[in-house]
Order: sequence, then structure tokens, then C-alpha cells
Amino acid sequence: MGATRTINNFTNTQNAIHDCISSLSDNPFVDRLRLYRFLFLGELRGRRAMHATRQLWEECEQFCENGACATNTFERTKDIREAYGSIINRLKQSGILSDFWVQMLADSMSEWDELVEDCYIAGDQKIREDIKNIADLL
Amino acid sequence: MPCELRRFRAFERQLHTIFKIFPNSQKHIENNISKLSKKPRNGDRYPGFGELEIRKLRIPLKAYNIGKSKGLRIITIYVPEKNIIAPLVIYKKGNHGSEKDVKSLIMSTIKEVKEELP
Repeated sequence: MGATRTINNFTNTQNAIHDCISSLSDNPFVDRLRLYRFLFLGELRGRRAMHATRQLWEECEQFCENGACATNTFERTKDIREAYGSIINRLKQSGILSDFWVQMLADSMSEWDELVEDCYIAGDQKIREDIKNIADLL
Repeated sequence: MPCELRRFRAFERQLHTIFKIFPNSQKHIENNISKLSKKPRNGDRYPGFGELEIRKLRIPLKAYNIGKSKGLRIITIYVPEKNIIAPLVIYKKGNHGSEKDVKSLIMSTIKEVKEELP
């Protein structure tokens, strides 16, 4: 149940950020409105997705020893991180939003980057096996 | 009851390098490491390790105006059944998209630790 909700949150975030990027035009007024909409709704979805993922990982015990959730989440989180990068670059070039909002997006991108890193490491079977071996020897 | 804190030589080497780069934060970093024995469940947990708890702790470096997001990372191994915690890797968070570098660092550290253990 928790996993399904998490995946839905990821899909919603991906859709929101890609919709935002594709809808950006050359009209600064319209773009600004779309970006503000994303900053409130898309960011909220993104934070929910990240929080749900961290919570799910916190609760994973002996029933989960394959890291499949990390592997499955990796591509989605990476896609969201790249999309954030793309929006930030466009904003820096166009200057339609103040530095405050750009920094807010950059902070979110850092959080996504952290999640990408965690998924990438936890999804590696060799690392998981080696760390378990080290723990056995402690 | 506080858990036992094990420190690998490979970790100590990495820590020494970090101290050279951030000498003003040496005490702060050491405090964070010693706190691990009292609070082994600090940090975000990695999935897929079963009952074993692998976590990543984010440490800001206030003396250098570096926040949590750009600060240090310590990856720890906590074995609840033995009540032992061991910091495995310490590194400074790099630019976005550096997950491959972090993975290489973890893999090389694991190799060193395996040689160190009996």
C-alpha cells in the first residue's frame, strides 16, 4: 500500500515537472504563472514523494533484502533531478523569477540528487553483499 | 545502553584527509562521530539490507558556511543484534550527479576494510 502510494507520488511529480517544462513559452507573464503553479503544487508532490520513500525505507526490515525498490526508484528520481536541472538552467537564462525562487528549486534538486545517490548505492547487489559480509565479521 | 563504536583504518585515513581540508571543523566532526554510539539510528536509511541498518548522516560545516546539503556525508553500518556501529565512509558532498564517484569510493573502502578484518 505504502509502496503504491509512493510510486503514485513519483509519477505525479514527474508529470508535474515535465508538464511545467513543456508548457514554458516565450511569454514571461504566462511562464511566471506556470512556474508559480509548479512551485506550489509540484514541489508539494515532490516533497511528499521523498518523505514517503524515506519513511518506507525506514520501515523496511527482514522482508526486504533485495534492494529492488531502490533499483525501481533510481530511474524515476534521476529523471526528476534532470528535469529540475533543466528548469533551473532556463530560469537562470531568462531571469523571469527572482533568485529566491531559483534557490528554492536548487535546494529541491539537491534533495533529489541525494535520493538518486542513495538509490544508486542501495541498488547495487555487490555493495549490499560486501557490507553484509563486513557486518558478519564485526 | 550506548553501542560499541568500531573505527576502521580506512575510515580513519579518510577522516584525516577531511581534517586537513577542514581543520576548523575537526572538533565538530569528531563530536558527530562519537555521538553515533548513543544515537546509532541517526541519518537516512538505505533499503535492501534486511535487519542490518546502513545509514547516511549529513553533517553541515558551519565554520566554512557549508550547509547540510553541501556538507559531509558519513555512511554507517549498524548491527542491532551485536549493538555495534561502524562508520564506513566519510566524504564531502560533490556536485550534482556524482553518484558514480561515491559508489567507487564505497567500493574501494569496502575492499580495504575486508583486508583489515580477520
